[in-house]
Order: sequence, then structure tokens, then C-alpha cells
Amino acid sequence: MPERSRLTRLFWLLGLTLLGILVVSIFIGRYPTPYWMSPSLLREDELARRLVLALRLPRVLTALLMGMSLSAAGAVLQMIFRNPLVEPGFLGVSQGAAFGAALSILWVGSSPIVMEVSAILFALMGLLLSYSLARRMRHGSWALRLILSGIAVSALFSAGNGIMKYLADPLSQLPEITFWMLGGLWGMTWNKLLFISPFVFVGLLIVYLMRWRLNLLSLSDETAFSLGTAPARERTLLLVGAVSATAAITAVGGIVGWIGLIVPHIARRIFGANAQYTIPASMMIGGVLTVICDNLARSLLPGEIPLGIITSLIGAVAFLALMISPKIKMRI
Amino acid sequence: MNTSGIISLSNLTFSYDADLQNAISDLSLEIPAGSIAAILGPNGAGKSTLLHIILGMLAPQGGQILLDGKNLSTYSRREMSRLVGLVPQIEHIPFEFSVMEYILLGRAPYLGILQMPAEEDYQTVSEILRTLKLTHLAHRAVLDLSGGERQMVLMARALAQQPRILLLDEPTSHLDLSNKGHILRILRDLAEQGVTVIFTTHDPYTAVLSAQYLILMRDGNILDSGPIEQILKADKLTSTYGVPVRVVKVNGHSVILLDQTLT
Repeated sequence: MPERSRLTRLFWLLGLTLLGILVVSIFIGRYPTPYWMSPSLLREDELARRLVLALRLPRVLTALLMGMSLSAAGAVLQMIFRNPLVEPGFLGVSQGAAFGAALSILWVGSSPIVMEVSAILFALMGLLLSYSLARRMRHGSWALRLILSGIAVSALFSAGNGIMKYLADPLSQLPEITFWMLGGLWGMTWNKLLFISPFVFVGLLIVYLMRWRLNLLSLSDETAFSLGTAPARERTLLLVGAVSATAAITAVGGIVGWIGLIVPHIARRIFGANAQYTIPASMMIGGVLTVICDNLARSLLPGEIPLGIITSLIGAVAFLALMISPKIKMRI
Repeated sequence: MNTSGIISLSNLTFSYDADLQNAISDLSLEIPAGSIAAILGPNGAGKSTLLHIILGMLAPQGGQILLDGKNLSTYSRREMSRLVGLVPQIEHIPFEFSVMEYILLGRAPYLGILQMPAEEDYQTVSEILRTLKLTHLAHRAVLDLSGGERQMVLMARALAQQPRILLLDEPTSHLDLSNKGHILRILRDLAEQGVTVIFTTHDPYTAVLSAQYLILMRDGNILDSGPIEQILKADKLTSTYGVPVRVVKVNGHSVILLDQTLT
């Protein structure tokens, strides 16, 4: 089939791009001079070596995982809710995760493991709330109801976040909480990366392995059932996978928007609707995009720019372009 | 294939809500393998409900369903999906699947939960496309198809399951005459190959054209059921639709007419 060999070529291209960007990213930064460090410095300069190994490498890898998780979760949510306009941030997942993390900073203690579990629990709760509210709403299409209830739930959680900011100790806790709202990966260490890895890997693995099945679960209940699936159980499994990866990454990176919305659209545009290809494509494109955004965040200015601001800027512009472009069909 | 009824319903009772009256009460019917049965009735008569019960999606409160001589509840999900295919009335497909990708989804009953379709599955689908004369559509997006083409593609997806029982919910309701004829011809061919076909329709003529068995439904109740020549009677259709109806023979075909003048 010519069609499938074309897709294989595209995947190779995407994979090599990703690899290239990962390697290049290690040398991007503000040491010793802004923007670029010569690779030969790795041999000559002890400080450069330590910087790359202890700080840049875990950070670049986390950015990669972040892009993969957010994009995969976005693709899963869009397909399961049969709505091309949803992303983790629209359904109370990100705000829920941030709420859980802030709650744990304030009252339980900010040990990474506690924070992550709390973030995951509240992220799931956010999704559950958005979904059940949407089911109870009386008016409007399913797509519209889901977005409305997602906005409401996200607003509730961000109100909660606001209250906690107000209550937080301005010197020790407030900076940490504010960081959630803007999103960013400064201060990433191998230790933190190690803590989130199990959640992220298990979540991504579930999504990746069930990727063809996801197609079936995007059909109506009766069709999915007639094809031998257990729609409720399998959809829940995929959602838990997608949300736990997102929540874990949110627990260390804060709220980073738009990636989860825009990347699945780009992936579908290139690879078609079949999730067998759009899931790995979303993961790779998301990885490339987030690593690039994080490179900008940490090297563009002498001070760090919050990652969430950069992804919002790029994501919103890309989204507008997608919406206005006459060549792209969106059916809502 | 054995000649005993592949689908046998006995004393079937179902209601959505225990307080309400039964949506279906005491339905018994035997549909032999390789025949076509039409569930006929006005809109909202509960026809789809009956299909969903035979699909195993809704569990009846009383009575039993035997498929191939075996109780429906003893089939696993996978076995069921290999035995029974469904063509829903409307399939809202939110993403731009190509016709090939969409029909491949019908191979799910033969794939594990983590498996991807393999070369054989592509071949099976290509064959179905050839049989249904849809090969030229293989790489088009399902969303871009006309109503008739789309109905054919939905059917092809169900046929990729290689089911022995095919359920269709209003398969011809929004098709023009030529597409309607096309679909009904395919159903007849399937029946000749031994597939048992059950479809719902609100149009008596569609039932007359193709079915050997008829189930009349109104307000969630089965009014009558059996071989079509016993059921297709003016008085029975009149009570099904609540308007006077006449059955007339034209060139050996039964034609159903509304027996009233609009003044």
C-alpha cells in the first residue's frame, strides 16, 4: 500500500527531527554565552559538563515527556468525547491538578510524591465533574455542553487556587503556588523526573498500546458495543492513563496550555484520523514543540519566561491559523 | 447451516423503567437462518429497543433469547461481536476517517485489545469493498460521502465482522429509490448466503419488498409477528399506524396505500 509507506516515511522524518532537536537543545542556553554553547566545551569545562548533565538534560527530557503527555492526553480526550475542541486544560484536568498540588503545598507538605498523588486525584476529579455536569445539562449539543461544564469546573478550581494563594505564606508557599499557574520547568532535577516517570510512562504506555482501539471507542456507544468493546470500561482505562500522565507532568511543570489542543489537530492534518498513527504522531510532534518552547523559555531572556506563556502564544496563533484556513475541515 | 431457527425469542419482556408499562411484553418469535425479518412500526414504537436487546446491549427482564441454539447471555463479548453486526441509524463520525480506515474497524472482533489490523484484515476489507462495488471510495473521507454511499460504508463496516446475524436500524429511511433498491438487493444476497437479517423500518413497502418475516410494533408493544403473508393485512397495519390502510396487489406485489382522502 503506497499510503502506508508514505506514513512510515513521515514517521522516520518526525523521529529524526525529534532526536536532532533533543541533541541540539542540550547546547542551547545562557551559559557560557547566550543561546549557544559549543559542544567542545563538554570536554574542556567541568562546570559546563555538570550543567548539561545535572540541569539541562533532565529539563529537556521532562519537556519531551510533557509534550508527549499533554498531546497524547489531548488526542485521547478529543476522540473519547468525540469533540475536536477539548484538551486537558478545558476539562478541569489541568486546573484540578494545580489545585491538588497547591492543596498539598499548603496543608500536607510539598514532598513530590504527595504532591503528585494529590494532583492526579484532583485532576481525575476535575474530569469526572466536567463529564457528569455535561451529562446533566439540558441544552446545547454534547460538544458545547462539555466545553461549558469544563469551563465552569476549571473556574471553580482556579477560584480555589486563588483562595489558597491568598492564604499561602507569601515567602515560602506563594512563589511555589504561583509557579503552577504559569507553568515552567525551571528547577527540574533528575530526582523529580524520577518521581513522575512511573505515572507518565504507565499512562503513555496504556494510550500507546490501545491506540487502534481508541478509534472504536470514538464511535457511538451502540456501534462500539456491537464491535465487541466494553465502551465504559475501556474508555475509563484510557482516560485514567491519559489523565495520570497529564497530572504527573502538571505536578512538576504547572499548567501548560494549548499543546494538548493544537498538537492532535496538526497530527490529524498530517497523518489522518486513524489513532493508530495520530497517537504516536501527537506524542512526537508534542515533544518537538514543547522542547522548542522550553528552549525559548530558558534562553531567550536573561530571566526565565514561564513556559505556559510561550505555549499559549504559539498555540493560540496556530489555532487561529487552523480555524481560519479554508483547507482545514473541522466538524463540530 | 442448520435449519433450526438461528434467532429464537421466547416470552421476552423488557422495560426501561420498572414503574412504566413494559416496552416489550411477552414476545415470542422464531427467525430461521438466512431469512429477512422486518420490524415495522411508526416512529417511536420501540423498534430500536428490540434491536438493542438482540444485540445484547439491553438485558430483558424476562424470557430468553437463543442465538444459534445458545442463550445470548452465555456468549462472551468477543463471540457476540463475531456473530452479530449492527448498522446503526445514524453514525456520527466526528473525525475524517478514510473509508478504508473506517471499515477496518469492523475487524475488531478478530483482534486483541492491543492488536493492530494486519495484512489479512486489509485483504478482507478490500474483498468486501469489491463485493459491494465500493473500491473507488477506499481513500475518500467518510464525511465527504453522499447519503447512499455512506449507508453502504456503514454496512461494509458491519460486514467486515463477518457476522451471521446482521441488524440494521432504518437502513433505507433517508435514501432515494435507487439507493434503497441497492441496499435491499444486498440484504437479499446476504440472506441467500445464510446471514439472518433483521431491520427496522417505518415504511411498510420497504418491508414488503424484502422481508419474509414481519414484527409489527406500536407504542412499545408487539402487535403481531410471523411470516409476512399472514401479517401483512389491512386491519393489522391499520392498528399499527392508527390510520386506515389498504393492501393492494399491483403486478403481484403488495402495495400499501393510505385509505383516506385529504380534504
